[in-house]
Amino acid sequence: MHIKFYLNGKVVEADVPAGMNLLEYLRSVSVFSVKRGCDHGECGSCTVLMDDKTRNACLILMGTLDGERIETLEGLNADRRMELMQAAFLDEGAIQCGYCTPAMLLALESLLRANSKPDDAAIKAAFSGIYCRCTGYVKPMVAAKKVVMGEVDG
Amino acid sequence: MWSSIDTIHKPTSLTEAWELSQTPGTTVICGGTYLAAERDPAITGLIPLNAHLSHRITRGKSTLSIGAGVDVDNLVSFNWPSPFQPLAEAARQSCPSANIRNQRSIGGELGASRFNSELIILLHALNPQLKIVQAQESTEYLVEWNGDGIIREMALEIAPEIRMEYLRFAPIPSAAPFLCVAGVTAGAGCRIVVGGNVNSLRVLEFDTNTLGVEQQGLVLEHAEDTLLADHFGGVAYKRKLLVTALRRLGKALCT
Repeated sequence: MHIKFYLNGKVVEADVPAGMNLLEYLRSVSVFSVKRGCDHGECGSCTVLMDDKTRNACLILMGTLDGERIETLEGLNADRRMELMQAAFLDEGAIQCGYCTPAMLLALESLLRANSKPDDAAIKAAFSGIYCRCTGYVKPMVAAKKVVMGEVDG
Repeated sequence: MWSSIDTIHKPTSLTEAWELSQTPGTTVICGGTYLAAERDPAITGLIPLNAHLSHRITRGKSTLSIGAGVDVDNLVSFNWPSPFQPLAEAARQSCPSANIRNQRSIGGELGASRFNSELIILLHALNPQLKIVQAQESTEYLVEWNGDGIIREMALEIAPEIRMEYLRFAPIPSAAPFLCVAGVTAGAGCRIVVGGNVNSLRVLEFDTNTLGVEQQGLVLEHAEDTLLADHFGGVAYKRKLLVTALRRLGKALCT
C-alpha cells in the first residue's frame, strides 16, 4: 500500500506491505537509532516521537501512519539541546551497552518539550517506557538532571 | 511484520467503520498496542479509527466528555475535578509504561476491558455512559454494554458528593494486580467492583452509600467464584485477601 508521512521533517512516500510496522520500515531505510528489542511493545528500544510523544515503533503499523509526524534521533542530532543531552550522558557515563540510549534521549527530549523544568518524578515517568538493564537508571537520572539544571559543559 | 494483514481500510465515518468491521477477519484499531503485539493470524483487515475519534476531554456544566481517542497518558495528566482524581492514578498504574500510555486510547482500553486494569475496574464502579456507534448511535452504561459497536465518547457525570476509592494487590507497584477492588458512592447508593486475576469483573450495587459488614458479605458471596488461583496464591488465599480488601475499602469510603 502507498503511504505518505513525515520523517524528521521530510515528506516520505513509500509503498509498503500493509502489515509492516514502523520499526521494520525505519531499519530498512537505515534509521538505525531505532532498535529492535522485544518487538512486542515491552522494552521501548524502538522509541520514536510521534506528535512530540514517545511511542513504540514496533506497535505502529505503516498503514495507519498517513499524515503523521515521526522523529528519530537522526533528525535531532544537529539540535543544540540534543547535543547537550548527549554530552551529559557521556559525561556521567549514563551509557553501558548503549542499546536503549537513543530511546532515553528521545524520552528526555519529549519531556523537555512539554516541561522545561521537570522534577525527579517527571523524569522517572518519562523513562518508564524504556527498559535499561545496564545502568539501573541512576546515571541517566543524574545526566537528565544536569540537563534540566543547565549544568552541562557543552 | 503482521503478515496476515492484506488490507488497511480508510473509512470516511465511524458508521462506515462499524459496517466494515462486520466482515469476518476484519477489526477496528485505534492505539494498536494489543492488536499489533498479538498479531492474530486470523485477522486480515484493519480499520483505523484515529481520524474519526475525538482526542479531547471537554468539561461541561455537569459532565466530563472524554473522546474515545484520548490517550491514557492524557488521563494521567488531566486536571481532574476533585472527586475524580483517583482516575489519574488508576490510569497510570494500569499502564506503567509512558510509551504505551501515549499509544493506548481510552476507547481501546474500554474495548479490551482487561479484568486486571485498575482503570477499567474503577470505571466500572463509576459506570459512565458510552456513546456507541453501530448502524445507529446509542447511549449505554458501561456495566450494561455487551461489547458490540465502536465507542465514540465516554461521559462522566460530575457530582460533588461522588467518592471513589480502589485498592490493588500486586507483588510490585508496576505489576498488574492479582486482586483489585473499587468502590464508588454517589447520593444514596454505592457500586463495588472486584477484578484482578478473575474470570470476569463482578459488579454489585447497593441502595446505601456505605460498605458495611452486611454489604461486604454480599460482595464476597457474589465475587468469590470469580477468583482464580495463580502463582501468587490459591483461591482460599484470594478469598481471605478479598475479605481484607473489602474491609479496608469500606473504611476508606467512609472516611
